[in-house]
Amino acid sequence: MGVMRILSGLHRITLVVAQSKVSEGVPAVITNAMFDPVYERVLGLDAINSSALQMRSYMVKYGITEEQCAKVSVKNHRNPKSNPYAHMPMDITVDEVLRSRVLADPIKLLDTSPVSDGACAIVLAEERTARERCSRPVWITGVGHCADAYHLGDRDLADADALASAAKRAYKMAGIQDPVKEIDVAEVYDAFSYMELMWMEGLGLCAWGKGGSMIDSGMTEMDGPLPVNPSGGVLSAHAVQVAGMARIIESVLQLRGEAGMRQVEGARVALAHGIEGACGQGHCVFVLGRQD
Amino acid sequence: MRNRVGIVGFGQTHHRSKNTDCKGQELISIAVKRALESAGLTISDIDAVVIGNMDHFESINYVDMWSIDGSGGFMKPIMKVTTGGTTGSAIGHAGFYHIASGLFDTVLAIGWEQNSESDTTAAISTCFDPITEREFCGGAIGPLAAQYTAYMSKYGATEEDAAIVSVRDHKNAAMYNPYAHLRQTMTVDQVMKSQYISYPIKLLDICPRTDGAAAVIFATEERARKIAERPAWVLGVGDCHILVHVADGIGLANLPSLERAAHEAYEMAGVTDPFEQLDVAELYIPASTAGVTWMEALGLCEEGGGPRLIRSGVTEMGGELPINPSGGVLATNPIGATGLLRIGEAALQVMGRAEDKQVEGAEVAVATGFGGCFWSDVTVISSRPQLD
Amino acid sequence: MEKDRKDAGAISITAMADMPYYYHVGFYYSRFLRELRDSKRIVGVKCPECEKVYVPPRIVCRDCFVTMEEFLPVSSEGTLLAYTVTNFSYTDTTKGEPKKIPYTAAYIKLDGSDSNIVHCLDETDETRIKAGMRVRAVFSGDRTGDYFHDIDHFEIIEH
Repeated sequence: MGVMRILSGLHRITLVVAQSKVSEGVPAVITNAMFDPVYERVLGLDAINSSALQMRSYMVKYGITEEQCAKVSVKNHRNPKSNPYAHMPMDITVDEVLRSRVLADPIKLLDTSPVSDGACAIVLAEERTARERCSRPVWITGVGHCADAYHLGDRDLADADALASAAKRAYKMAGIQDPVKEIDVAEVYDAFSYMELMWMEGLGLCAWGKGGSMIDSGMTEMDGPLPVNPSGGVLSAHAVQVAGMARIIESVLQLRGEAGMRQVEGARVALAHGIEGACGQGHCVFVLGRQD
Repeated sequence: MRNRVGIVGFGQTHHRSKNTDCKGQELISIAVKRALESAGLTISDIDAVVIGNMDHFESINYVDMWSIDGSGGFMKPIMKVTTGGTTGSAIGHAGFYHIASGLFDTVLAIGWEQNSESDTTAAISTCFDPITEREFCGGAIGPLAAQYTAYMSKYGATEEDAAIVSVRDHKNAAMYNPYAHLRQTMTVDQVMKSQYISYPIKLLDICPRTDGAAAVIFATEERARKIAERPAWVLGVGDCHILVHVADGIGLANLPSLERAAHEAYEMAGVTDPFEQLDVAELYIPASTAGVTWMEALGLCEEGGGPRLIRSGVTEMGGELPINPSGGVLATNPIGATGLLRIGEAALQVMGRAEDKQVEGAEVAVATGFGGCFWSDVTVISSRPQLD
Repeated sequence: MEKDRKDAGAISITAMADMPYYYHVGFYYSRFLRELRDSKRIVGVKCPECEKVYVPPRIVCRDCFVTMEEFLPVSSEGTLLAYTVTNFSYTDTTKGEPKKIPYTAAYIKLDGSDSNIVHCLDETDETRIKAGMRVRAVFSGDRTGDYFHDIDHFEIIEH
């Protein structure tokens, strides 16, 4: 909406603000209320156990292992040790993730993002104003969003079709033809460890079903060719309504070269991603570019 | 030059107090189908969807996701907008910006509510500060009622002035609008004799709780000219939120947010003399008292001139500036749809498609939205792509 | 289409959502509620730029958008700006119980404050209330720091 206000030519500068105090409510009760009150809510579904269904179908369809998912968690808790804004930076091992308490099989405690309170804000401006007022503006070059069917049973939970569609729109607008080559760093909405792998597939940053071998290859590590979630992502800070915009902010820091110890050298194009609804029913993708 | 934005379709449900034969998504689908029909489009012509309601009324989180079976948003970009009472008007403005941004060509904006599904007064009270204000304010009615005591005391307005507004809007709904929820005429005397709900507001001064949905289709200039013979052009939009603590707004007697939003929308549209230039108004008047107090904020009369304007008869059908030919909010209030109904009804007027409620020769219309802690949206719509 | 389906045996179901919230009232409100509880004092906070005094206290001035840090007491007497005698009940979401009626919601500008508060007045006969009347806070005997309850109500100051 902020982008649309600027693109309309009616507003020069727009402030976009998000805040979330997850600690003031009961997340399971609240996320239960995203399910249909007549058909699904009484089953006791919430964000965690519905995602467990998705993780299981992803594992079954593509042979992804719990170890591979755990590696995401290890990476995304280690990366934020250089991020002062992160909620849960820590050193953990794959073994510790695998042995942590099972919340809803196959999701374990350390596969899961924390309950965080937080707020963030970004300032958007039209091109001329941005050039006048800011020495290093970061440009939004592409944006796309899309939603899948509502009922879990209507979807193939193992494939993020709506994400593929959202990414296609964003890449088209940004003129990106080969996302793997052209994108230097990605901030992806990893509410659970397996999600980072699935969303990378949907984003076209790895082939369908290859999320597991991608993490094994080290491609998304800080020293890999496409670092994913240098900030620690959502796994290390999950203020729900904030976390998507935080991905944009982290991308901006990367492109401005202001990401400190988590800086990806020479990052010129960044991708920020957010999800909505159960098991990533809806997705939003931003492509950002550096001032040159 | 800015991208022009046209309205090419509008659909609504037959509103009533309880839609027991419709689940929310089904209600939404009826409004969407009627909007598509009115524009001669199919769902495949729609590039993006905006939808909203008061989310705690039905206690469904992520309504944009849940509603996909009714909204037609499957595998489309869809966005939720929820801003309290202004939800409907904000959905309309979001639809406008979708087009104005150049990102989309044809956009479906949907507002809906099943008011009958919960204690909505309690739900509304959650818009007030939980620690210091919530338990005293009394839902939506309390602050409106209190505001009128300040207005009466400041300008000498009376309860009868408000009753005239109630009679006007209910009469319009009864005579001209087959979709309206309450279609019952009444006299000033009947309004005055109805029981106090929240002094000085009486039962017949206040809007009902309605189940219903509305959908409006926005399009780029190129698309709009192809789709509709006479599209309605959105010439101006203005939004203003002012207060965190509702108590700060009540003592003011007037509505500064509406004044500011109207100023923005008028300036953008080129409206310099609203009373002269506007042909018809669809105003979010949730209580008859607001139909007296907020007229000056829209620039329709001098400060404190609400009672004079209302008593002069110019706002009646056949008058110089008819207000709420549809019967407005006093007759129909499915909150998430209410502001969008104002935009849709205003569009019908300038498109010449308002049927029985048509104001002859209407070319310029204003629609408003109101909500929560006294914030406002204003939209100016015209059959002319620009005012001279 | 809608009409055809009326009276076709449509079913409605009841869902009782138990959705508790745990509000963190924060630094400013905590100070406000503590002063009420411990000293029967109503405190506001002053903007360092425009010098407006806000009651209840809050972090930023809404006009100047600067952080406010100077707390100061305001009077427990003030002017009634607007009021309504509430005659309908609804669920009081702070308690989860039906609201007791009638009660009078009172919008008050306390002396020394530039913003207003809303509380209740111990008069429910609208013919005996007028905007512009002077009112005074009556503090609770048993003060707990919970919500705005340490002021029990406001009363009209008789002339």
